[in-house]
Order: sequence, then structure tokens, then C-alpha cells
Amino acid sequence: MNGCEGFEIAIEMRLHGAADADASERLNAHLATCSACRKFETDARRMEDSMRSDTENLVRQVDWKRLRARVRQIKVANWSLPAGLLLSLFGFLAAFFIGASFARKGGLTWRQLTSFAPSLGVLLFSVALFIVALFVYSLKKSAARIREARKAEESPDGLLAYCRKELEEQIRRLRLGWLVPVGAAPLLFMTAWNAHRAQLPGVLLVVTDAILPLFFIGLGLHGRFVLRPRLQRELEELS
Amino acid sequence: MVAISAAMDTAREAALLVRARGTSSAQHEEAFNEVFEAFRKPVLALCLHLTGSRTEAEDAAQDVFLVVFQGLARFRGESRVSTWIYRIAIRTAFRTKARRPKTEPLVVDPPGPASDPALDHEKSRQLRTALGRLSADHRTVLALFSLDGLSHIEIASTLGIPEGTVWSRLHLARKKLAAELRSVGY
Repeated sequence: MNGCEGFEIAIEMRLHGAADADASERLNAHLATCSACRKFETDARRMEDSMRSDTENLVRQVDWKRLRARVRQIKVANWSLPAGLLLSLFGFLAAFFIGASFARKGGLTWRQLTSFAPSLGVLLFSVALFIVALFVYSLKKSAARIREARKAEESPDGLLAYCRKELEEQIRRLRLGWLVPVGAAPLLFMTAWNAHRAQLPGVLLVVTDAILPLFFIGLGLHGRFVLRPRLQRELEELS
Repeated sequence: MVAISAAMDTAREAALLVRARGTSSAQHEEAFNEVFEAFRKPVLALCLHLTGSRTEAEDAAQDVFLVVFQGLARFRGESRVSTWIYRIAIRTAFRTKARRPKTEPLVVDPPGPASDPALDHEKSRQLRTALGRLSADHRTVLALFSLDGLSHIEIASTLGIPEGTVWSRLHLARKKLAAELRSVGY
């Protein structure tokens, strides 16, 4: 530390418009006699100019329309999971009401309906229960993660460790992803079989009722073949 | 030199928040567009200085605006909008940088079509290399001060440190940057 440190800080303050007239006058008087501080001022200006011109070059090159379009794309992607779940739920309800309306019109005997409705009812209830449980769990989990992330951001090392932990957790979750298509496939088969046995007006009912299993099968395959390899790569890079 | 302004006055910020909290999605979209236009350049500049790479700066800026879009309507106004956005930018840029393989050199981006001649590109590379060798705290304070229109009070608020500490940190960062620049032959 040299004796000019106070003046060097004053140079920084003046460079950024935070020095008053008195301080500026004292600084000028010092600069007239100190070549080291004059050099410090010149260097500081040069560094600021370099940093600014560096970013201006970049700003000119960026395709802003593309960048904004990418933000929009991710926004849409973030909605795809809740939208898929909502659509599936709608499919179940539609299937249930179509079945019930056929039963009322006499197009379906109660025996036929009972061979079909219980599996639907149980599934509908299970899905609703699962969604509620998932919502409550994710709320609690998010609050804890936000607290942890804030703590981790206090240092770059902490942040790095946090990123690694997050990735490991996501990969662990995705490893169980094979259960999703394996669980959904029998549902799909059961739906088709029940519809066939009950001689329901097949196409519409099967399509509406098959949305959920198909959605989960797609989700499971996407996790296994797209998400998991990408997260593995990221984790390897971080390690 | 065209300055990259980091400022948005408080009245404009307040009007923007009213629109962002509005019930219609058109109002929300309009508020986001205004934020994007006002902050796209300073956010990108900040991300560039913190990540040291053009491609990563673009990725980080994209993530920043995604978070801003999702959080704007819920922003409670406890700090200025600019402070909030710069905090997100700093966090996101460091997260993006942390994901980069350690073996990768700091600056690998080729010069863009609009960049200046080779000498300027070399200077730019040296500057980013020197910045990359500084600690996260020093790099952040230098990057924030290189944005025009951001006062030391706002910088202190963004970093969550006392105003006096901002100047001493900037001074120390400047000294270290000068030493690093000398070592890379700037």
C-alpha cells in the first residue's frame, strides 16, 4: 500500500462522477505533483474505455430478434408439462362423461359400464391425488431450494457445489424415469381392452382415454434419451 | 463511442411495474418488451465481462430475460428494477460460467463479422483473459462500473455491500486488473 491510495480512490470516484468540487480540486493539485497517480488515472480511463468498446462490439453483433425468440420458445416449453397434464385430465373426464351418457341412453348396459368405469374412476382419483401431492411437495421443496441457492451464491465455490448437487439430484430422479412408460403401457392396454370388452364407440373413447398414458410414455422416453445424457454431460464438465 | 446506458428512471420503473402487474397478458407482454429494450445491452455487457465468452454471454442473457419475464409481475418493488435485474444477471452469468469445462480456454469465440481489425480483437482477447483471472467479486465490481448510468449507490445495493466498500473494492480490482493486463502483454 502506498501513500497515494486515498488519491487513487478519489480518481475512481471522479471517473464515475461521484467526486465533489473540493475533492476534485485537491486531486488536481496532487496530480500536478505525482506522476504515479497521473499514470493510474490514464490507465483507469484506458481500461474503462476498453471494457466499453469490447461490449459495444458484441452488442452490435448480437441477433436480438433471435435472442428474444429463444426466450419465447423456452416460455412455451415451460408450459408444456402443465398443459399436457391438463389435457390428459380433460381426456379422462371426457371419457368418463361419454361412457356415462351412453349408459343413460341405454346404449350401454350397467354391466358393461361397470367393467369399464372402475378402472377409470380409480385412475382419475389416483391422478388427481398424485397431482395434489406433487404440488404440495414441490412447493415445500422449492422453498428449501431457494434458501439453499441463496446461501450457495455467497461464493463461486459454493455455487459450483450447488450446481453439481442439483445436477446429481436431477439425474437420480431421471433414473427412475423408466417406471413412467412401464407403468403407463399397461394403462394404455387396459383402456383399449376395457373399451373393446364394453363395446364402446371405440375411436373417440380410446383416443381421449389414451392421452394420459401416451403423454407419460413420451415424457419417460424424452427423459431417458434426451434429458439424462445432457445432464450427465453437464455433470462431467462440472466435475 | 456509443455508451451503453444502464439507467431507467424511477417514474418509468413504477409505470412499468403497474403494467407488469396488470391483468391482461398484453400489458404484461408490453412491460416485458420495455424491460428487454432498456436492459438488453447492459445485461449482455455484464454477462460478457463475467463469463468471458460471447456465446455464454448470449446464453446467460437469454436466461436472465426468461427469469425476468417470469418474475416481473411478482416483483414486489423492494429494490429498483435495475438492481433486481443486475442481481439476476450476476447470478446467472456465474452459473453459466461454472458449467464450462475447466479445460476449455477462457476465450475461444472467433471475431464476429462486424468486429474491428485483428489488433483490436487481440486486445479484446487479452482484456477478457485478464478479467477472467480476477476473483468473482473484483470482476463483478469492474463490470458494473463499466455500465453507464449506474451510480455507486445502485452498485452497492446490487452487490449488497456498504457504499464505501464499493470504492475500495473497485480500487483493488483495478490494481489487480492492471497487473493481469501487464502479465498478458496488453
